[in-house]
Amino acid sequence: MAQGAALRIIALPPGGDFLAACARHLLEAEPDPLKRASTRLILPNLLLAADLRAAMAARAGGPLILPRIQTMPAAIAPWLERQPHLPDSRRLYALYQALRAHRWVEEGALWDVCAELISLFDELTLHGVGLPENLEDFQARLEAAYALKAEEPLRFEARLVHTLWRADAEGTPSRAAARLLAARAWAASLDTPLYGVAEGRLGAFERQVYEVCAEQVPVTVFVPDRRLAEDALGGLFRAAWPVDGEGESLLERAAQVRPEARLSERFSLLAAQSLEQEARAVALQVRRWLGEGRRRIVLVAADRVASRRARALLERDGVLVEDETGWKLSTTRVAALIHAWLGVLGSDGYHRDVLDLLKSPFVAPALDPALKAEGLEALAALYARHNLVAGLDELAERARENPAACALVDVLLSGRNSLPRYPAPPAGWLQRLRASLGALGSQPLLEADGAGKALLEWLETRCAELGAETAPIGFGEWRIWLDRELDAAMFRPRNVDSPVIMTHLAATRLRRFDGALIIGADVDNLAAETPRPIFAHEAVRAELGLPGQAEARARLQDDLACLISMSERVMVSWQHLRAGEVILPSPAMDLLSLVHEQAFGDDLRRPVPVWAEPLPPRQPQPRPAPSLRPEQVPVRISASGLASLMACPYQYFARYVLGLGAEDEVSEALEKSDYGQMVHTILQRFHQRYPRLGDRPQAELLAALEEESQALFGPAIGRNFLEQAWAVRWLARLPAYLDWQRAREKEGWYFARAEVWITQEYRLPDGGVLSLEGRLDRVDQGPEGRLAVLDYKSQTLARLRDKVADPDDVQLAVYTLLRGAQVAQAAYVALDEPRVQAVVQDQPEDGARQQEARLINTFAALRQGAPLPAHGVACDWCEMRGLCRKDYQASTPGQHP
Amino acid sequence: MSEAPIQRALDPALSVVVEACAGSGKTWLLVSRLLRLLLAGARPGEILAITYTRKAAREIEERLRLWLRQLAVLPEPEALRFLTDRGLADAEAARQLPRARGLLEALFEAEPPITITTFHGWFARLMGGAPLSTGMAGFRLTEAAGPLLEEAWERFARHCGKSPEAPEARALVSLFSQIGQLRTRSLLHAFVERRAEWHAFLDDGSAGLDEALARLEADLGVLPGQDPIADFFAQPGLTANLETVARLLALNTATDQNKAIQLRAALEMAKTAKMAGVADLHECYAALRGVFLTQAGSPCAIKPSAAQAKRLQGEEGLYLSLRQQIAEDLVRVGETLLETRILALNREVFTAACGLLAQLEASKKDSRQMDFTDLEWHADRLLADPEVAPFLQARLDARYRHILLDEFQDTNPLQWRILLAWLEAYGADGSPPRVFLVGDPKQSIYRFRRADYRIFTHASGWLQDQFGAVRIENDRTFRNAPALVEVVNALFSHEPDFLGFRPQTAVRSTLPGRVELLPLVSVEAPAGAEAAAGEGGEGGLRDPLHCAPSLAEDLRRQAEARLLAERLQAIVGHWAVQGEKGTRPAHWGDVLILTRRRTILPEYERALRDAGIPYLSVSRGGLLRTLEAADLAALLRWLASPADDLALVHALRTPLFGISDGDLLVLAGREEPRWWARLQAEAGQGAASLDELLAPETPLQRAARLLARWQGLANFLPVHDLLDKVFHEGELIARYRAVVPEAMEASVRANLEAFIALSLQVDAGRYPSLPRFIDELGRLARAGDEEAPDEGVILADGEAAGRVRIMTIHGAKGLEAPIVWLIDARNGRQRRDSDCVLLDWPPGEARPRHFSMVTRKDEQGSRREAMFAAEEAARVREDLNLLYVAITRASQYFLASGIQPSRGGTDPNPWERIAAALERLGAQDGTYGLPPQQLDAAVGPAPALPEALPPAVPIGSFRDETPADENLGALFGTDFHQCLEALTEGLPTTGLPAQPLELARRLLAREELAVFFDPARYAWALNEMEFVDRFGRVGRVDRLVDDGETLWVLDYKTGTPDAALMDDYRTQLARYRSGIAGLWPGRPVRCALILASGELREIN
Ligand code: SF4
Repeated sequence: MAQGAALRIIALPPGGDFLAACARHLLEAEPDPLKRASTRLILPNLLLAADLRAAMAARAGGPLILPRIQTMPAAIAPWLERQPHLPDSRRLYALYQALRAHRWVEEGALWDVCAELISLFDELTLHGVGLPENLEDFQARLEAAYALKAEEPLRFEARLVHTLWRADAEGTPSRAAARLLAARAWAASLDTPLYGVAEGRLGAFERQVYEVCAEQVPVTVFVPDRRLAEDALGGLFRAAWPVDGEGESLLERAAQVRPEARLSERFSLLAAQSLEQEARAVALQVRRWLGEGRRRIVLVAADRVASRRARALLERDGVLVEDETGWKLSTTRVAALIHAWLGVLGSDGYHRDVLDLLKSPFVAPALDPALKAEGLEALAALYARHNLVAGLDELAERARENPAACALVDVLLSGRNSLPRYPAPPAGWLQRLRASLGALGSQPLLEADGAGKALLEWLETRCAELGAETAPIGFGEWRIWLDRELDAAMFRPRNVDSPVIMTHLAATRLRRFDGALIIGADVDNLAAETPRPIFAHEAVRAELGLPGQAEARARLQDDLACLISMSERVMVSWQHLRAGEVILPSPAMDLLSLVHEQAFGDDLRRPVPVWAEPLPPRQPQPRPAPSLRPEQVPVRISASGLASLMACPYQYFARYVLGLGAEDEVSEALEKSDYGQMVHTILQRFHQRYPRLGDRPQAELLAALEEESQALFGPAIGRNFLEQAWAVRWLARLPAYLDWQRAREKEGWYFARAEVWITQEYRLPDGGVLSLEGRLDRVDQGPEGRLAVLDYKSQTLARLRDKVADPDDVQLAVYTLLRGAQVAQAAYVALDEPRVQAVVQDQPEDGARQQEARLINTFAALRQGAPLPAHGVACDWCEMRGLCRKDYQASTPGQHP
Repeated sequence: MSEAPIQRALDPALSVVVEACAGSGKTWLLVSRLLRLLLAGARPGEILAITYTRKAAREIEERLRLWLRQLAVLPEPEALRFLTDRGLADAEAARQLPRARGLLEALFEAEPPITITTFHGWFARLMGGAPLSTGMAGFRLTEAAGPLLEEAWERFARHCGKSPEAPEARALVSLFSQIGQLRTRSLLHAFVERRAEWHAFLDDGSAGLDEALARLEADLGVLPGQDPIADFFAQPGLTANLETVARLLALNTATDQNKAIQLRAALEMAKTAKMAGVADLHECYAALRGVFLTQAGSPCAIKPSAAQAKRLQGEEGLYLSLRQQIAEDLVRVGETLLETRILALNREVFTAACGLLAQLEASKKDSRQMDFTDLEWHADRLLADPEVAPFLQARLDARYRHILLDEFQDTNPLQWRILLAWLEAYGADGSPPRVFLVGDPKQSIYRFRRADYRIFTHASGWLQDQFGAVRIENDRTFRNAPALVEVVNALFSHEPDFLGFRPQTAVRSTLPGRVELLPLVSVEAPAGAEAAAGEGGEGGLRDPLHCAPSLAEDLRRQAEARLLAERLQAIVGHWAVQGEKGTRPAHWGDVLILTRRRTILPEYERALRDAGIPYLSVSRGGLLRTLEAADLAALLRWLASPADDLALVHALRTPLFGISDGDLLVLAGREEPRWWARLQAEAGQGAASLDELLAPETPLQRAARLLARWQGLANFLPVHDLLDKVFHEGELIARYRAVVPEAMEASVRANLEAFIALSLQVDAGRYPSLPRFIDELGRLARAGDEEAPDEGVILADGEAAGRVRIMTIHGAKGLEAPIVWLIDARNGRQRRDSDCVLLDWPPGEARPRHFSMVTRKDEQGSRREAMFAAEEAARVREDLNLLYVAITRASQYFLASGIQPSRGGTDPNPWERIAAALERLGAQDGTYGLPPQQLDAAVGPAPALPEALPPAVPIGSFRDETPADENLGALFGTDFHQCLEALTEGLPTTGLPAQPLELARRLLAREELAVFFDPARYAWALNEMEFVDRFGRVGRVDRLVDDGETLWVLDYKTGTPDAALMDDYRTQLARYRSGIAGLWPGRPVRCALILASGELREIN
C-alpha cells in the first residue's frame, strides 16, 4: 500500500445520529463489497457493534457485506503476545528495588512513590513524550515551568525522577510501551484500509496508533465533535459547555438556545439530603421508568456508595442491576479472608483476628457446622477465661481440652506452617499464601465463589509474572504490596443479566438508553480527573507535553452531553448534605441548570420525591413491668442480686430471672475489677500465713506481703509493663495496710477467715424459701466472741462513707445477715487511701434486720405477682438498656406510678 | 457598616482587618470581598480563604457560587445594583459588568482552583504537594488519633519492658507511684496533644529535653542540686535566734509556752542530727513549721499588745521580728520545696512523654499516618524551611496574592506562626499579598482547641504595621432585635473582664424582641415527686418495686425540663415571629435550645417527648449511643457470635421482633442451654398440629424464621447487604415507627438510616467481614467525639422546619433562630484546668516562653502564678464569650432558665449575669421588651405529600456465574478458531495454546483442503466475514472462499457432531447460503463444515 498515506479525521456531530453518519461515510468510501469485506473497522468497544451494523444495514437498505469489526486491544493482542515486555507487577518490583537501593526515600514511602512514578511514566509513554536525555536539561525545564531557581528539593526530585525514568525506559519495555510497539507491528501487517470510530476526543494512545497505521494504509477515523451538532440539544449543550473556551457570554449563548431544546420533561436535577434519600430517589425513578415500559436503564455510579445503596433498594423489588464496572477486590468477602488470615499471622494470633478469621465461611468449611460453632464458642470462652490477648501456641495449648476448639486451632496451625514468615521473593510469598489457603481448607469454596475465583486467578497470574523476581522482601513489605494490589484489582460479578446496568460515565459513550441516572453528581464525584501529585502543576505538564485540566474537563462535558442526548430520560442527583456539610453540585450541572433556567425559566431542579410508606397503627410501648408466677421467682439471691433489685427491678429481672449477662471478654489490660480481685487474693494468702501480726517485725511482714503481691502482679507485668501501675499502686499501700491491721489487733480484732461462702435460708410468708448467699471477704473475731464482717474496697473514703450511709447499699447488711448473730461490726475497708481505714456501719444488726424485712417483703410481693418495673436511674451503663427500652418511653418512670 | 467602611473593607487594593459583632454579616462581607477580588482580575488560584470549619468553608463556597450564578444572568439594572451594593461606584460597576457575568465560568475553569478551606484543609493540601525530598510521600491523614496513641502505648510498654532501666521507663514507674495510672496517662496525653507546641518550645527541635528542663528550673526558681532545708539550717545565727525565740515563747501565753517546748525539741533534734552527720533535717523542718506556721502553711498571726510586752519584758520587738522573719524564711523554703517537687514531676513527665512520643512517631511512620496535630506541625516545619517552602508553593502552584481569614478569633498560636512564616516569605520579593482578616474576639470559644483570642488583636496590629492594613470595627447587627441588643449592651458593658466591648446597635430597629429570665427552679418545687419517691417503704426503707431511686438534682432538672416543655407549647403557634415573608406564628423549627453541657440533655429530651414536642438533638458523634444503633449492633453481634445470649434477647426485644417479657419468661424456662436453641425449639413447637400450622405466625416463630435466615446470609453477604435484608425483610422502619414516640420518630428513623450508611463507609467498605465491622463499631463508640459517627440528619422536607433543635453553644456557632432558650443557665461550674500543659505563648512570639505540666490546684506553686492568672482570665473571658454567643443566636426572643444549686454555688453564671443586666435596665419580673404579639394558627408548615410508590416491575435474572467459558469444549473451539485465523492471516502465533495450534497447522497442511487455504489455488478468501442479509439479520462466516466459480461458505467445528447437532448446523448454514447468495446474485454457493479432524462435510 501507499507509503505515508494520510490519517483522515472526519469530525461528526455526536449524539444519536453519529453512528449513522459513520455508516454513511464508510459505505460511501467503500462501495465495493469485496474490498469492504477486507477493510477493518476499529470500535472503541463491542457494545457499539450492533448499533453500527444496524446503521449500515439501514443505510444500504438491503443485504450487505460488513467490514471486519474489532476493538483496538483485540487487534493488537496477537502482536503484543510476541512483544517481550515486563509485566506491570514486575516493573513495579524492579522500580521498588531500584528506589530502595538508592535510599532516596523512607522505607515506608517506597510503594507510594513507586506507584506515583509508574503512573507518571505510563502517562509519558501514552502521550509519546520522553524526558530530556540529560538531567541538567530536565532540571532547567522544570525550573522554567515552576518559575523557580533550583534549590535542593527541586534538584532532588528532578534527579530521582530522571534517573528512574531512564532505568525504566531503557530496560525491557513496559506494558504501555510494548502496546505501542505491538501496534507498530500490527500496523506494518495491514494491507487494507482502516476505519476507526472514536467515542469521544481521540485519546493519546489511539491517536499514536492511528498515526502509525496511516504510514501504512489509508486510515479514516470518525470523531464526534460537539461543534458540529446542529440540533437544538447540541445548541443547548454548547451554550452550557462551550467547546472552544472564550467567546460569547453565557447570557448571549443562552439567548440562542432553540425552543426545542427544552429539557424540562426529560431531565431532573435532585439535591438529596442524605445517602438514603438519594438512593431512594434513584430507586423510585427506576421503578417509575420500568412502569412506563422503559427497559434500557443505566445507573452512572459517580458516587459508588450511594449507587450501592440504591442497588440494594432496587434488588428488594426484584429489579436486578448488571454491574459493568465491578468492585475493588479488596471490598469482597474473600479479601476479608486474606486480610484476617494475614492479620492472624502478623499479630501471632491476636484474639479478635483469630475469631474473625475462623468465623469466615471460607475457613475449615469441611468441618461440621455444629462442631465449628461449638469450637468457636469454646475458643471465645477460652480467650476470656485465660485473658489471652494473643499467642497461637498458647491457644493451642489451652484448646487441648476441647476437641471442637482443637480442630479449629489445628487448621490455623497447619495454615501457619504453610506460610512461614522469613523473607522470600514475591512469587514465593504468593505461593505460600496459596498453599496456606489450601491448608485452611478454603480452596474449594473460593473456586465456587465468583470473587474467590477472581482472587485465585489473580494469584496465579501474579505468581507467573513475578516468578523471575529473585530479590527477597519481608513479610511487612509484602503485606503492604498485597493490600495495595487488592485495592487496585477489580472484580466484576457476572451473575446478573439485566437491561438495567450500572457503569461509569465514560462507558456510556454513544450508547442509547431509555433512562439514565447519574448518581453523585457533586463537585467531588462528578469531576474531571485530576493529575497525580508529581507534576500536577499545569505549566510543568504543558512543558512536558502532558494534557492539562481543560482537556479533562472538556471530556467530561462531552460525555455528559452525549449521555443526555442519547437517553430519553435523565435524572441527576447528588447528596447535598453530608455529615452536616453542604456538598456543591458538579460545576457542569450548575451551568446546564443555569443556562436552561435562563432559556426556559426552569432550572431543572426538582424536589426529592417522598416515598409513601404504610404506617402500621401506632403501639406506644408501655414501661415494662413483668410479673412472675411464684415458681419463676428466684429462690436464691446474692448481695449483688439484691443490689440490682434495689437499683432497678427490671434489671434484676433480666439478670437473675432471665439469667442474662454480658459475655466475658478478653481485657487487654488489667482493669480495676481485676485489680480488686488480685488484692483480695493477696490479702487472703497473706493472712493465711499470718493470721496474727502480733509483734513480728514490720520488715518480715512487708516482705511477705510483697512476695505475695509479686506472685500475682509479676506475671501480669511480664506480659505488659504498664501493669506496673497497678503494682506500684498496691505496693505503696502495704505499710499503711500493716499499720491498720496492727491497730486493729490492738483493739482486739483478729483475722479469722477470708473468702467464706455462706448461705442463709428464709421461709417466706407463702411457704416458699429464699436463700440468701454470698462470699464474705473477711471475718474478724473480736473481744467476747463478737464478729466483724469486712469488705475490701478500692474506692475513695468519701464514696465509701456515702455508701455506708445509703439505705439502698445492701452489701454490708447482707454480710451481716449471712454471718448471723454476734456481728458487732460491719465495715468497708478503704484500701486505696494513704491511710487504710475501715468505714464502719453503725449498729449493723439493726440495719440488717430492716433490710431483712424489706427483702422478705419484696420477695413475698414478687411471689404474689408484683411487677418488676424498669425504673432505674443509672441507665447509662446498664447492659439491659436494650431490653427495657426505656429510651423510647415517653414518661419518666417513678413520676407516674 | 455604613457605605464608606464597606467600600474600604472590600477594596481589593487594601489589606483590611474587620472586627465585627455577631449578626453583622461577616460572611456577606467575606464573600463580597472574594467577588471584588475576582472582579479586580485576581486569578482564583491566587486566592486563599481560610475559615474555622469545613462546614463554613463549604457555605462560603456555596454563597460565592450562588452570587456568581446570579450575576451571570441578572437583568442589567439588578446586576448593577448587586455590584454597587458591594462597594463599586456606578461607573465602575457598569464597566465591570461584562467581566462579572463571566466570573462563574472563570471560577469553574480556574486551574489551580480557588482555595476556600480550613487551616487543616490548607495544611493537608500542603502535605499532598510536599516535595519528595521531605519524606512526606504516602502519608494519609487519619481522623482516628485514638488507635495510633493506643498502639504507641503498646510499643512503649514493650520498650520499657525490654529496658526497664531506661530513664523513660523509670520515670513512668515513678509517675505511676506518685500520681497513679490514670493521672499519669492523662498528663502524658496532655503532653502528646501539645507536641507541636513542645517542638516549637524546643526551638523547633534543635533544643533537647535538658534545655527544656533548664528553662523550667529558671522559671520555677529552682537551682539544680539545691537543698533548701539544708540551706535554711545552715544560716549563721539561726540556732541562736531559735533559742531566743524559744526563750521568749516560754515567757508568753500558754499556747506559746507549748510551742516553746516543741521548739526546744526541734532544736535538740537538729543538734543530734548535725552531730550524727545526718543530712536529713526534714523532721526538724517539719517541727519548726508547726511552731511558726499555721496548718495552712502561712505565718501565724502575731500582734504586739501591752500584755505581751509586759510578759516579754521589753523584748517584744525582738520577739515579733524574729518570729516574723523565721516564719517568712520557712514559707520561702516551703515554696522552694514545692517548686522542686513540681520540677521533679515535670522532669518525669517530660522524660516519660518523650519516650511515648518517640513510639508514637515510630508507629505513625510505620503505618504512614498522621493526625491533625501532625498536620500543623509538619506544615510548620515545611514552611519554615527556606529551601522547601518556595518549591512547595511552586509545586502546588500556590503563590497566593490574596489571603482571607475568617473567624480569626479562633486561631491558635501555631497556626498564626505558620501564617506569619508564609506572609513574611513574601517580604523578600517586594509584593506582599493583600490580607483580609475578619473575626470577633467576643466569639472566641475554642480555648480547648488551643485558640487564643488575643492573637486577633496582635495580628490586627501586625497587619496594620507591616501591611498597612486598615482596621474597621462594625458593631451593627442585622440579626438581633433592639431589645436583645439593649440587654447585650447592659450585660457586657458592665463586665470588666469583657475587655474591648463596644455597645452595639440594631440595624432592624423595629424588630420586636424580648428577653425572659425564668425564676430558678428550687429544691422545693418538685417536693411532691420527692415525697412520692420516699414513701411507701417499710420502716423507712424504700420499696424497690414501687419507688424509683431518686437523685435530688434530677428532680430539679425534671422540673426545669417540664417548665421548658410547657412554655414552648405556649409559645409555638402563638408568638409572632418575623419570617422571610412577613409576620407569622412561631413554629417548632423557630426554636433553638442551647446548653453548655450535652450530658444533661436526656432529661430535657424526655420532657419534650412527654409533651409531644418534635425535636432534633443536634449533637455530633452520638449515633452509636442511641438505642436504635445499639439494637442493630446487638443483632449483628448475635449473628457473628450465636452464643451471645444477651445480644439475642436484646434483638428480640427490639421493635423488629417485639418479643414480650412474657415470651422471654417462657424461653427462660426451657432446658436448652443457649437461648437460640430455646427460641428455635419454642418456635418449632407450634407446628405440631395442622390447626397450628395454619395459624398465623407467632412473634417468636417470626423471629426464629428471620433470624435463621439472616444467620445464613451473614456468612456471605457484606454487612451493608445483610443490613439491607434486615431492614427490608424485617420491615424494620415501619415497626420502629409504630412503637417510638411520635416526637422521636424522625430522629430514630434518621439514625437507623445513618447506621446502614455507616456500614458502607467503614474503611471504605474494605475487607468487609461482620466481626471486623462489630469491632470497628466498638472502637468508634469509644472514640472521641471528633471521630464517632454522627446521628442521622433529619430531612428538611418540612420535617426539620417542624422540629425544635437542641444544640450545644459550640455547635450553634454561626446559626441563628427567632427563639433561643438557654437551659441550665444557673450553672457556672466549670471544670478547672488540671493535669494539662501550661503554656505561655505571647501572641506574635515565635515560640512559647514557658512549657510545663499543671497538676492539681494545690500543687501549682507560686512561681507560675502570673501564668495561672492569665489562664484563669482567659477562662473567665471564654465563659463570657459563650454567653455572648448564646444570646446573640436569637434574632427576636431569648429565654433562659436554670435550677437553684443545692450547695452555695458562688461561681459567676449566666443566669445571674442576665439578671443583673435586666436589673440595670429596670426590667420587672425578669422580662425585658414588649410582650410578643399573639397570633393563632396551625403549627408548622404542611408536610410534603408523599407519593404513592409505583408498583415494582421485577427485571433481570441471575445467571450461572460461570457459563460458556467454563465449558472446556467451547473454550477449545474458540482457541481453534483463533489459531486458524492467525495462521491463515499471517498473524503472530506467540502465546496461542499449543494443542489447538498444532491441530490447526495439521489441518491447513491437508492436501484435500488446500483448495481453500492455498492462496495460489483460489481467487480470493475472507476470514470472519460478516454480512447482513435481506431480512436484516447479521451473519458471520468463518471463511468464505471464491475458487473461481463457486463461493464456498466454510464453518469450522471442533468435535464430531451427532445427528441433532448436524440439523442445527444445516439450518445455520442454509441461512448463510441464502445470505451469501443474496450478496453475489447468480454465483453458485456451497456450504461445508471443516471438522478439527480435517474432514470436510458438505452440507446441502
Ligand atoms: S436501663 Fe435503666 S431502667 Fe432499664 S433496666 Fe437498666 S437500670 Fe433499669
